[in-house]
Amino acid sequence: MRKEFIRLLLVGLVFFSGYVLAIGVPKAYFMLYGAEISHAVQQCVVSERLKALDAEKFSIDDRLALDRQSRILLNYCHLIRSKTSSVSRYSTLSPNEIETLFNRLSNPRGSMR
Amino acid sequence: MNNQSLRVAIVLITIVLISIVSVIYRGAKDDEFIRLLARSADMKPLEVRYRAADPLYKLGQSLFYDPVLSGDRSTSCSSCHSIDKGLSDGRQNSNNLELLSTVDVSTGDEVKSYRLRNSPDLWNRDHNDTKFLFWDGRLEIVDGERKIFATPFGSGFGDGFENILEVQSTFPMITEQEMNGAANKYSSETLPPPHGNKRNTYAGLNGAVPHAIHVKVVERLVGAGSYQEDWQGRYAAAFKDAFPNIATSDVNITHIGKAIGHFEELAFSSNNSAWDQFLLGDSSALSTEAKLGAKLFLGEALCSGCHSGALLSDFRFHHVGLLSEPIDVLGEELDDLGRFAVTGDPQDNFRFRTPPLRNVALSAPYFHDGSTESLRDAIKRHILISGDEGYYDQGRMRFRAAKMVGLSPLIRRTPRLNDQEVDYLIEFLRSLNGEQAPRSFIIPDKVLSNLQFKR
Repeated sequence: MRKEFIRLLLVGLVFFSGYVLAIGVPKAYFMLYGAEISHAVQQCVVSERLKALDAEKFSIDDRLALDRQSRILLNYCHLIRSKTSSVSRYSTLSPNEIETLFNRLSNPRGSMR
Repeated sequence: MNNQSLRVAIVLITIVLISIVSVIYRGAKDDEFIRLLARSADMKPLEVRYRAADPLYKLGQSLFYDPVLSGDRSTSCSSCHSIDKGLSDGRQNSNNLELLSTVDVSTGDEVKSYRLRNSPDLWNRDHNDTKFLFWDGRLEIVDGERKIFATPFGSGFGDGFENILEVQSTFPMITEQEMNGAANKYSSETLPPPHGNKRNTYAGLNGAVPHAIHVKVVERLVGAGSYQEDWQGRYAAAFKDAFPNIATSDVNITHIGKAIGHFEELAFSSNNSAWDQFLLGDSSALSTEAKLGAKLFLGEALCSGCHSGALLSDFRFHHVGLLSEPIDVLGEELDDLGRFAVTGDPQDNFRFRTPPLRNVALSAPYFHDGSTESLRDAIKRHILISGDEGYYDQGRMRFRAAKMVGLSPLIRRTPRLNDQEVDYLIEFLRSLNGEQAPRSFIIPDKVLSNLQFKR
């Protein structure tokens, strides 16, 4: 009876550890790096918004400015991605998914723009 | 202290030390990250210039500050480019002009009018990034190596000049509303002898052949034929010092341009700003707020698409949605069409050259029409243009959708920024204020004509 109880307790501990590793650690990580992750995703979202303009016709001067800004934002996005590895999880998501994620992850007050 | 307390203390100290080191490490990585982004926007620190008041500089200094260069001897270069106003003049509109013209249908005559624009500053315009001067880019470097310039006066006008500053310095004397002066106007009687009540010898030649006006300018400065007044003798001697191999009779407008251009290069180079120091590796040069502003500037605020390069300008032309009040010429409302006036291409309507931002905090008001008094309002107007029509109803500006065709795509995508973020951007812009040459190096005690001048 007593052995059975200890076994159950150990199983419970294993599940609890799993829970902590699966949910708690990412949450703690986000608490630490949340601002940077949000910021990175924000750059990615803005970058995607600029990409949407690619098909439109602009003057050469505007095109150069647009390309330069897109390049800087992509660098921004990639540099933070490499810095905070968890962001790389989001690199394969579509712009809409990134935006949804951004809105979910961000502090609602902080995301007011 | 027992062993257990000692162990606890060691663990706590270790945790504190690790935290401090990780904070410093993260901060350092963050700074390096801003530098990387700045490099991708071609932003480089400005070089510190060696300044020496050689004879060419002394001559250029006197010419820059001397009102005797203007038709009625009232206006010098410093009238619109004052060191006390960040090398602008603090006024909304100066005499930096766009010529507007229309035809009077009753007579068939062309009627000319001028629109006043805000006086642009002159900081670091000798930098290689400078490709165009004037808000509409009417002066352009076509080939820097071969020193070929495009001007409104056709080919050959810029011949003999070494750089764009030299060419530009000869423009205001050609324009009536700048330094040329009105026809039949005499200089003020109150000017000290021999300058009072003198006829404007430049007038009547306006808009015809710049060369004819420039000949008069040279005659004014060094005398015609064998006749020289005392002050003209001083100028003749100064030209001799600056150009030892040139006879006084061979002095021409390029010598005047070279002297003023050389003066502007040395006197108005401004460098070693907090931003320059930061780019060179001194992380403590920028405040935390300025660093946050730099991140915004380079990132989602989308400033660096156009405000790139060492001077924070791409020296290209963009329609950022700023529409000045049209002016009435014979009942016809004429807009300031910016670059269109130079190219004649309707796609260039309302496009203006991106202003460089070095020392921008010193040279209010802002934009081509000087319609914005503060940096805060200047930033906000970039943000509000595509979305807030009401903003334009409150001031002189009016939002007119039809004229927004060709609006810059970056302006269309500029995100809303909250007040704190605008504060960060302002801090970043203030970090662009560079060190200047001493006032005593820039401003002469007196000019060679002995006329009073604006500092």
